[in-house]
Amino acid sequence: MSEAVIHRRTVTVINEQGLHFRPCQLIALAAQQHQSSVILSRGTTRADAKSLLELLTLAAEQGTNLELEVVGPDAIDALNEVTDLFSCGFQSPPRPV
Amino acid sequence: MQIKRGIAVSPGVAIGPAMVLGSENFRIPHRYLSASAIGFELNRFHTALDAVCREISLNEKLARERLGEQYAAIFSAHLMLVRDPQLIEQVETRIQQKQSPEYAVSQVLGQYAKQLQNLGGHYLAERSVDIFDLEKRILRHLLGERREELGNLTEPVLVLASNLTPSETANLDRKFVLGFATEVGGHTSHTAILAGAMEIPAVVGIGKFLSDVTGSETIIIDGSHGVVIIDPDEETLVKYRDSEERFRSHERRLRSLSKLPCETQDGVAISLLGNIEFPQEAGPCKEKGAAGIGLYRTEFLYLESNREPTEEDHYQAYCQVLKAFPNQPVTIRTLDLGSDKMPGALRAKYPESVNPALSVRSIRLSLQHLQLFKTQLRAALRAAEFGDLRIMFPLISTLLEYRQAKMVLSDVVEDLEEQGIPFRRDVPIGMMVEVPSAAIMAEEFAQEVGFFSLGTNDLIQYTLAVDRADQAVANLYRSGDPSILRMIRNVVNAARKHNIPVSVCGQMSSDAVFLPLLIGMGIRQFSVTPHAIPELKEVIRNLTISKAEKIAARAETLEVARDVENYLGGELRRLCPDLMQMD
Repeated sequence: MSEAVIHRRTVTVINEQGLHFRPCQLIALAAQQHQSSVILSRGTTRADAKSLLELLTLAAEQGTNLELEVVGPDAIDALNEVTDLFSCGFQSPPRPV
Repeated sequence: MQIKRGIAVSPGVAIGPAMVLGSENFRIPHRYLSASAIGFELNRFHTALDAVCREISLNEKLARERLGEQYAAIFSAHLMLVRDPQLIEQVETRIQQKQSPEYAVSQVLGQYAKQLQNLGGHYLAERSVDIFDLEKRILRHLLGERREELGNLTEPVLVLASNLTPSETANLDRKFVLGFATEVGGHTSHTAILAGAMEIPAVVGIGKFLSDVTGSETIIIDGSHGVVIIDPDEETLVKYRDSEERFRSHERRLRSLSKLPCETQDGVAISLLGNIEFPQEAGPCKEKGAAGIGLYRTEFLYLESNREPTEEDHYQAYCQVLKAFPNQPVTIRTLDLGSDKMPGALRAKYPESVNPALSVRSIRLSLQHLQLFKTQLRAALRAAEFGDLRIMFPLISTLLEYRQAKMVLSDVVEDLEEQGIPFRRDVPIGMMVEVPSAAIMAEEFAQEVGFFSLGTNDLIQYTLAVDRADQAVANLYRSGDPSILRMIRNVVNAARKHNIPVSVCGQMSSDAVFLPLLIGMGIRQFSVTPHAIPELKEVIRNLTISKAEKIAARAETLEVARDVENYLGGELRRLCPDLMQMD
C-alpha cells in the first residue's frame, strides 16, 4: 500500500537566483511526469509542485529549506527526480523518464 | 424583481432572456450561471485555454526562429501557466459553483498575481505581469468568443453589456436581438443613434448593473422610458406584454403612413428628411419615409480609427448614402468636432481646452487645418456627381468665416479642374445657423449663402448658456424659450426675404410638440431623427397651415418657456389624441 505512504525529504535551494521562473518550470515539468502528488512547502505555505503558479508563490531564495512531500504509486521516482533538480542547482535537465 | 433606470434612446418594449456581454477592458461581471449551463461554460473555458495555447505556441515558434532558444523559453513557461493544473482545477471548481468562467479565471489568476505582487521588491514580483498577461489572453478569448456569438444567435435575446461599439450595434441581428441595455453611453452616443435607426428598443447609461444579472433571467427593456427590469414579477410582465403589443400596433399604424404624401390637410407639402451619421443608416431612414438626408454628420469617419480618413474613405461613404437616395437631397455637414472630441491625428495638438464649446471646434478646426478640410470637400464635390449632394458648414459665427470657408471650397474646385478630375460644379452651399451671432445677422448671411439649416441644439445651448449634458443645469435647457423662438423668427424672415431655403435639423424638430409651431413660423423642411418621421408625418397630416400659423402667433406672445411648452403640448393633444397616448 505504497500509495498511502507519505515520502518526505528536505531540499535546499542552492542556486544563486532561487526559485525563479526557470527552476519552477523544471520542477513542475518533473512533477507532472508522475502520477504521484508532489507538494513543496515552505513553513505553512504549501505548493502543488505540478503547478508553476503555486511554485512561484513560494518565493524561495538561495539558502531556503523546503519540505518535499510525495504520495503515490511512483513516489520514490518523483522524490528522487525533484531532489536531483535541487541538488544540481537546476543546472542540468531532468532525467528522461 | 429589480428596476434600473437609464437613458431612453430607442423607443419600444422588449421582453426576453438576458444575454450578458463582458466589456472590452475586462471588467468582469460577477454573475452566476444556471445549473444547466455549467457543462457548456466548462467547455467554453477549455476552448479558450486551447486557443491561448495555440496562440502562445505560435509565439514560441516565432521566437525560436527569430531570436533563439532562450527567448522561446519564456513562451514555454507561459504555455505551462496556461496548462497549470491548479489553475484548471480551481477555475473548474468555481464554474461548478456556478461562477462564470470569466469571473473564475480573473479571481484565480488575480490571487496568484497578488501573492507575487506582495513580495514587494523581490525579483518574482514582476512575474505578476506574466500572470496578468495570461489572464488577459484567456479573457480575450472568453469574451471575444462571446461577442462573436452575437453574430450567430439562433433565438431571441436581450443584450446587456457594459458598452457596445457602434459597429457591434450596426451588426446586431434585428431578428434575434430584441433590445439592449448598456452601462455607459448617452443620448448622442453613436450606439444610441444606431439603435434608434435600427428600431431596437434600447436603454443606455444605466451605470453599473451587470453584476445584478444572473445570465438567464427574464428582462424587460422599456426603451421609451429608459427602464430595465430584471426578473419581473407576473403583474409587471402582464403590464409590459400589453404595452409591447400596443407599441407594436402603434408602430404598424405609423408605418402604414410611410407611403402617404407628407402634406398638411390643406395640401401644403412639408419635407421630412433624416439626420444620419453612418452610411448604414441611410437604408432604414429611407424606409421610414425620409425624403432625403438633411443632416449627414461626417464625424464617425474621423473617430472610427486613429488615422485621418482619406479622400477615398469620405468618397465611398458619401456615395453609399447617395445611392440610397437617388435624386433626393443629401446634405453633408463638414467636420463638426472640437476639443472635447478631436480626430486622432490632432489630439496631441489641442491638449485640453478650458471650455470646449467655445474653443476650436467645427468650422474653426477645419479652417485651421486646411488639408483636412480640403480632403473632405474634394470627396464631397466628386461624390456630388452621383446625386443631389449639398454641403453645409457648421458653427459659422461671422460672415468672414463663411467667406473663408467658401474660398477654401473655390481652391478645391480649381484643384479638381486642373487635375481633370470629374466633379459637380453647382453644388448648393449653405450654413448651419447655430450660433446666436449668425441668427442675429441672418439678413446679411441670407444674401450670400445658398440655404440655412437651423441647428437648434447648439443655438439653444449658446443662447441660454446651458450645456444640456450637464445634469446640474440641464433643466434650464428649454427649446420653447421665447428667445429661441425669436432667433428662429429672425432667421425665417431673412430667408424668406432673400428667397433661400431654411430648414431645422436640431433635436427640436424631431419633437412633435414643436412641429406645428415651426410650420406656423413658415418652415417647410425638417431634418429629424429617422425614427421620428412617421410620428411627425401624422402630426403634419392632421394640421392645416392656418391652424399652424395661429399656434405660432399665440406661442410667440408667451413670455416664458414653460408656458410655451405647456401651450404647445395642449395643442398637440388636441391635434393628435392617439399620438399622446403612447407616452
